[in-house]
Amino acid sequence: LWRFALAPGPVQLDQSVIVGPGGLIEAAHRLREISMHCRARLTRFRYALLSAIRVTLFSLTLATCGDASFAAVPEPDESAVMPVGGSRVVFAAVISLVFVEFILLLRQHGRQQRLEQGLKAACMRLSLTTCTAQVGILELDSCNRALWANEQFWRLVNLAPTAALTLDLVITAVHPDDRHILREAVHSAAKSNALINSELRLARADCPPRWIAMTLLGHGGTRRTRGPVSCVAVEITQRKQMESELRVQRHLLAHLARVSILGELSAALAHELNQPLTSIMSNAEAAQCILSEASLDIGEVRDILDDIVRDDKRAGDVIGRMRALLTRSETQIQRIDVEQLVDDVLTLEHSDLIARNIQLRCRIPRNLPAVRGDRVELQQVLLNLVLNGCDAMSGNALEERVIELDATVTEDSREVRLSVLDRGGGIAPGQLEKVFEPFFTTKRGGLGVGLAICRSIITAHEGRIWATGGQERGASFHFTVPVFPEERHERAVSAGIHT
Amino acid sequence: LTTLSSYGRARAAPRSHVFSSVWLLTRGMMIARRQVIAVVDDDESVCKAVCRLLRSAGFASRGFVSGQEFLESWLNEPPDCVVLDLRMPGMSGIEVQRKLNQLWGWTATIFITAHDHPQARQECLNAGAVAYLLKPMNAHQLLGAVHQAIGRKTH
Repeated sequence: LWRFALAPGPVQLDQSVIVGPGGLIEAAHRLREISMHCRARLTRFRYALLSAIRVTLFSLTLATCGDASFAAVPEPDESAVMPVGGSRVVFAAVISLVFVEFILLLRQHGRQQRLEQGLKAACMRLSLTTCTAQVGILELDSCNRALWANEQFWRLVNLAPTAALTLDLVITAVHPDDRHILREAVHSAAKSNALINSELRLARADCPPRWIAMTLLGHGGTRRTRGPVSCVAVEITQRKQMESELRVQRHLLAHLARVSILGELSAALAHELNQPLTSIMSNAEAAQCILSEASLDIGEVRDILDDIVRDDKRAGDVIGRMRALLTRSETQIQRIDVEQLVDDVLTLEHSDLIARNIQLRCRIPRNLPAVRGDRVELQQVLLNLVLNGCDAMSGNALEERVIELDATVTEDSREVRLSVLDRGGGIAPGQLEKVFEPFFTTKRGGLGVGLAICRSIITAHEGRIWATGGQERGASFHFTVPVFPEERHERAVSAGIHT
Repeated sequence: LTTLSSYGRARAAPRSHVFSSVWLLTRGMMIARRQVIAVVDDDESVCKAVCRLLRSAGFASRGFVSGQEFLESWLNEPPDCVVLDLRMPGMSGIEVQRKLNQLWGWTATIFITAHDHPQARQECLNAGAVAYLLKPMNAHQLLGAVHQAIGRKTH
């Protein structure tokens, strides 16, 4: 019994040593298991109470079993047989059990003390960490009432500590335009048990607004029922300001790069404008000549006027595209038809390609989905890649000056990939990533910012850009742009994919 | 590729004084024989407009959108004058001029281009071009050059 009572791990009954009535041992075993199970949950008082009940139960069981039951149990080992006694045995057993319980209580008390100390230390560490890291913590129950919030959280949301903190009160501290984000995030976390990140502005009269990043984790919720939610909040105003400044700088740099590209293309653009002007001039003078004749051909004059209008529109389109590239405006995310995007770029590039004797092989599938992005910025990326390819082939023989432009939709239908392949000198394997770094250039007189800007534009579009070596020679540049959300859904529905 | 084919017809004297001098010059030539001008420009719109202008001035004109197409289509005697775009995809204007010279000896050619480059100008003139005109050229310049080319050929 001593060995049994003081066993540190789960109970392992050794029938060869402890020999006694089966019912007694089973009762003791069950009680001990109950005790082990409850030990972690019950308070010290309750544990003591349970121990007392155990002792009483044990004594009663022993008393009711009597000596007869001992004799009924088969003895596996004669040497280990305990002497059969009368009331003295019962008394000794009760005393032993009381002593065992006392020892267990002492052990439990010591363990609880150590646990409490550990808990206190953990609380202190958590408090120190949250204060140092300026992290606000909020615990919400399933009814959106706050179970607990640390001091930093109160400071972060600029609210006075109150006993009745609820989610609605926290929401009042959030910017009106972002309140739905927090509400939806808490709702999702409470039901999905997933980690949800959201960035919110706080309601503040003065500008610029303060930003906080919230990470929410639900636990115990199901699809039908809500569970409690833990929320960690960090102020990210400074990061947002820096991001904003970076965005402005990136725009400025991208604009400068566009101006530089258009400078390079000025001769080609002049040609693109002169073509329709030549048509207009010739048509107008032909019309003058026809009108001055005695026999007027009205049909011919009508055709001439139609052509003049068409050429004038064509010249206007060239100017419009140039102006769009030269204008410094905010990013405008919109639905973009890939074929139209490529067409716009090739219109600007058309004369330059002819001047450089470069053949262009363009493969754009008809059913390509539209993408989501800024038209001007994506034009800039494509234009830059095509121009780079042209520059790389300046030393090639005429028949080796070929640029291939491919567009495909990725396997998951989430992105469209555009690839520009040239037959130039190629890129060394070790420099495939380096070419996107600022001020890295292999071109004579190049600044080395073109591809770096391309990367920043594509990253801002949540896409990827990378370079690979050509199959035989030359280099390939690829970039992906997300498919316009509605088109993705339509494609998924038409393909029978449930999203 | 589109081939623009049309022949001019004898026209009444223009009332406008702007084209009167040009008209008088062309009219005199047309009495004897309608002059045939080939226009080669990769820009279909330009090709069509120049053909139309030449036709309105009383010439017979045919348009081609590439040098290759022109050389393949025009197998008989050379045209009286060829108006050639300098920069075209595939075969450039100068290459067409050289081919013409190989096929029929010297051919009266007029180069039209939107890229003014002294080297290109010299190269064209060395290849035997009568004129090198910058786009957008007006009717006076073009028809003047055409008359000059035809006159030189006749001479």
